Amino acid sequence: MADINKLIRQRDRTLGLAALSFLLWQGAQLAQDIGLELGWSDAPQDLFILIPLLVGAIGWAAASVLFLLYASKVSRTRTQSVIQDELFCHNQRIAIRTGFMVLIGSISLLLAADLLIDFSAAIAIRALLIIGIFTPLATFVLLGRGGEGDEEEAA
Amino acid sequence: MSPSALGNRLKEMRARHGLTQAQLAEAVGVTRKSINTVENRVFTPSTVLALKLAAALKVSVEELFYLDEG
Repeated sequence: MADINKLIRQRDRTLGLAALSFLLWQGAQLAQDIGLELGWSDAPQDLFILIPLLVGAIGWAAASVLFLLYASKVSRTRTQSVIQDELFCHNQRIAIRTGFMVLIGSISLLLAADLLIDFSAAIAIRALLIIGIFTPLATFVLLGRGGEGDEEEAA
Repeated sequence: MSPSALGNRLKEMRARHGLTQAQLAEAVGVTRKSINTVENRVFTPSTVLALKLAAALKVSVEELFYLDEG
């Protein structure tokens, strides 16, 4: 059971890292795209964009490696059926549903915004990609933080 | 998150059997977090899990779970 708790913590930390680093990486790319569209010629060299872009990309790559290590540990210890129990499936469903609803809302907002301002399709697609990846990952991690109360000792 | 309409006596029954959340979780094949969230009425278990919990605690499902009408 201690191994399972450790694996769950490892999974949640990896997903949290993936969510945040993707947000940083693609958010920086989005900021760069917006800067270029607005005609800021030095936008690509801006440290406020380059640093989060690099940190985010490295974080995303690290999260991918950590997730592979986690998957290999789960397969080696044959704990998949316990880790992916009912609560996991329940939280996964809520996370995917939340991601879908937020994505639909964002598409509607972008369509409305398109009537008022001009922006390229690349900007809209990147914004939707960020929302589509970040929202379910972050929701799943947040949901997983419930039920971490102290172990109730047997009487 | 609002509490589930399904009340339970899981904590009481578990204590009666001298089991920790981790031991009960292992007995029914779920994580300790699942047991914790069921006990705290954050998560409503499926019929299968409810039956497994009742069997592990050697009680009927009706003794373990009840509808909270309030």
